[in-house]
Amino acid sequence: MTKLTYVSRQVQSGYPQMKRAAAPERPYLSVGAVALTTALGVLVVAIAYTAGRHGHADSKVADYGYWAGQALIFVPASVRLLTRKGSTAAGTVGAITILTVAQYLCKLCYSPLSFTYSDELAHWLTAENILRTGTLFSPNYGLPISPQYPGLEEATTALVQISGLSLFAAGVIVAGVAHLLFVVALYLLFRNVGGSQRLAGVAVLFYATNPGLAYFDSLFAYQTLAIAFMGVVLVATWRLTEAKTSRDRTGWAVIAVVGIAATVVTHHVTSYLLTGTLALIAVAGLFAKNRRVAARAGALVLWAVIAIAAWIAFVAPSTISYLWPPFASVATGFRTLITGGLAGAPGASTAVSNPASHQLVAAAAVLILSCLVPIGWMQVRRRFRGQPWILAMAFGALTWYAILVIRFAASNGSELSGRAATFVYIPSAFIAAVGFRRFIDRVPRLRAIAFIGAALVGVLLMSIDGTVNSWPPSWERLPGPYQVGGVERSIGPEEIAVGNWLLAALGPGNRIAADFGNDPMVGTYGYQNPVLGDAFLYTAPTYSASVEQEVFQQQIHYALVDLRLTRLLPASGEYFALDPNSGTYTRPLPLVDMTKFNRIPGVARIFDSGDIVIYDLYGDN
Amino acid sequence: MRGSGKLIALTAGVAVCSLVATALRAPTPITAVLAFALLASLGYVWIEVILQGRAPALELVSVAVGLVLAIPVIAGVVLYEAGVPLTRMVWSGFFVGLTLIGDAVLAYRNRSVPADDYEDQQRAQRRHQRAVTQLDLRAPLEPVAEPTPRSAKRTTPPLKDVAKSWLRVPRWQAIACALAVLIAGSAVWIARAGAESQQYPGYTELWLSSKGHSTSVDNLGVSNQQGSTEKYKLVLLRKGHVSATWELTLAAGQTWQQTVQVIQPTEANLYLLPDLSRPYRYVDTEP
Repeated sequence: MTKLTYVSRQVQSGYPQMKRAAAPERPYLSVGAVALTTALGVLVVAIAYTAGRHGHADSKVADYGYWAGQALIFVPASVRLLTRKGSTAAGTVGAITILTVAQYLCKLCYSPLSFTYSDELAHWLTAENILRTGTLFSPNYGLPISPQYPGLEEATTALVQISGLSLFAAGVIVAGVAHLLFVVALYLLFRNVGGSQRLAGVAVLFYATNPGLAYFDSLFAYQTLAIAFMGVVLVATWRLTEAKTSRDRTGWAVIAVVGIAATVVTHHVTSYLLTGTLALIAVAGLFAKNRRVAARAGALVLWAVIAIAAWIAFVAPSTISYLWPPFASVATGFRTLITGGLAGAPGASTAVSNPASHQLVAAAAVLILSCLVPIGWMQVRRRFRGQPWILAMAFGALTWYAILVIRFAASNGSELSGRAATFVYIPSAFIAAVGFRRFIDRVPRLRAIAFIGAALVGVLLMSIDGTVNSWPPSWERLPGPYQVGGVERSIGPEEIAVGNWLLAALGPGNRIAADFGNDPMVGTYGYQNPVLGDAFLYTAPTYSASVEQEVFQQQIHYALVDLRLTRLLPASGEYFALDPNSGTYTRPLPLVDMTKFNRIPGVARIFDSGDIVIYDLYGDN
Repeated sequence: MRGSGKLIALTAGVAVCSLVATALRAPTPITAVLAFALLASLGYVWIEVILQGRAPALELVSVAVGLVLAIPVIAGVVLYEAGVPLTRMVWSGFFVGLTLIGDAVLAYRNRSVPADDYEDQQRAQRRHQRAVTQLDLRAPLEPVAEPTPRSAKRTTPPLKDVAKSWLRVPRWQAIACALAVLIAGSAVWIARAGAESQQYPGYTELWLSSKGHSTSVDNLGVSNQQGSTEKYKLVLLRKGHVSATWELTLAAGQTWQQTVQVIQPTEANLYLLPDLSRPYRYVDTEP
């Protein structure tokens, strides 16, 4: 019976049947060799980071070391996944796991002692609040939406409570496990939908070139856990749509329902995109005249919509106001694009433009995927027209071109398209892998080796794009000394001490103006409410009546002045959040502008650490 | 006792031990090991309850991990809504209780179901494995879905067979993987050591503040974070006249604090000795 089903699935797939059973070949690289070289890559990256911390952050040697380490991490796994010689399911899973763990370890080596990225700090604060109060939904001024989606923090604090580990250790474990789970779930989804472990391996490799995977999707942030749930839900949904017995249906339905509920509690955007994906699968089921798929996926869509609506209505009503600005920005960009063409579209707001070499690599990587996706579509049209899951992937891959448009159309298109890549790459990588398979099918074995070589170069190009145009940015690629207007390099012991003092001396929740580099510290370590759009306070040459009026309108109680802003240019190109002069600074801010508060009656100078001075703008009033 | 019966007993034992360790506030290494064992037990038990092993092993493991992560996410909200604080004992009791409930369900189910015939399934697994190892991009699709009407039975082999398959990994591969773990561990250790030994510029904090201006008493403080013992002179001026002075010797990391009355414009100047020519830090209530 097994054999009969096996053959029927081959016929269904449209691929030729295997003619003879060849003896297993030895792969070019065994899993052990891949693990060893990848571990060496992590070691080299860690050494480069250590060099950066000890005065060589701008050294070419440290930079080359970093890239050599990245190559050692990516090349062996790519060779293992792209070559068919000796390919096994266990080897493919092993290579994917090794690659994912290595990338996560690199991220850990960047911040090995505590969370340093602003998003991580915000979620750390939410988790701290849960541990401190034993309840959910305490305010978090650093990221007000975070307590309303407490899934990640619940899982982490539960682990802290039962294990006794520190919050940082538990957070690293939860984020790491979720990250690996997401990638393995993707592999399982691709393997189940495509019916081939090699196809799945190539698709995951393409996905791994996505700029967000190595960093944003492994942060201690709510999306990291939510996309893991999303992956599990999609695997469960596939099983549910294929289930023949009621026991199977019930079991996988329970997993899908629980997974959807957990996604809704954990992250807003992921839950919406999961619902959209399930709806797409249901529509594809109708399109392929497969009522079973349409009905079962449709039922899950209904559950997801109910769960989302209930969560927004009863727990997280501020979600709409939080998400509206980016959506409005995209909509405005599209409207401008339609009415005025590309020339009329607002430009990208990146403060520091990437070097030309990075942009060239990005263009080449975009071109490769953009070419492979249409080839994949042709394959789907020829061979998989009746398969709803593959049809859904094909429809979903259209979003690849949509984010390219967003990149140019929206005012913050680069950031939005970068964030969207996590989701857009799922169908796009699969369809691109189907297109890639087309070449493998067409070329003879000898030429296939040359083709695999070319593919390896292409994948490496895409992965370089994913690294250079992602996070950490070029100006913060290696950890190192403090820099103005940075992210992780703008939070050191002095800033953390100031944050602790803010909480101890002033109490929580005060409205405080600060620069871009200090905002995360103020909102997290300081438990304060940082003011966005406060550049006027620092760039005005005098504390005029209009400035004072704006201060009262925005209810700014304290002003944090970092005097290093008068000595250094901002690494990110912006001194302040929502900086109107972003990317245009050619010299540091004038000292006289920053110290003007010293002479103002009614303004008290309450804190001085040399670099950082804090003023009470209400003084003794 | 059959294999699954042993596992039920093992998971129940882990759960009880974990609860005892939490209640006795055992040292972190013990509670951490037991916590991970408890979560693994929870995942195993409930995946057995829900799916009864009717999927490939990798899928079962992945879904079990997802379930273990999802349970506290949903349970946290339910407990909060029920007014239960999310404390150490509550979480521990919840996980242990859930594991024991799952064990009870499995034990009840095992009593009513005859012993599984694993032989056919093992043969199917071996056939499947042969097909998978021969696959390449040009090869046909492997049977990843439940292939037969017998899919109601479990498709994962018992643990002893899984253990045997692990022993078949070539020795040099196992050594290479162990070496890789060692190297990766060294990398993290190097990164931690590098971060711990990173040098930052020293600084000294001076403050004069009160919470909410509700009183005329301010907190005056100095914190030495210069990295070495420093001598300071702190001068408090009221209306421009010296009101008090303090000679302070603070070790690295040491903090000095004093409450002062602030009923008129007050200023505090801190000098880093021996330089008395200009204040090293200064604060004031208002000019």
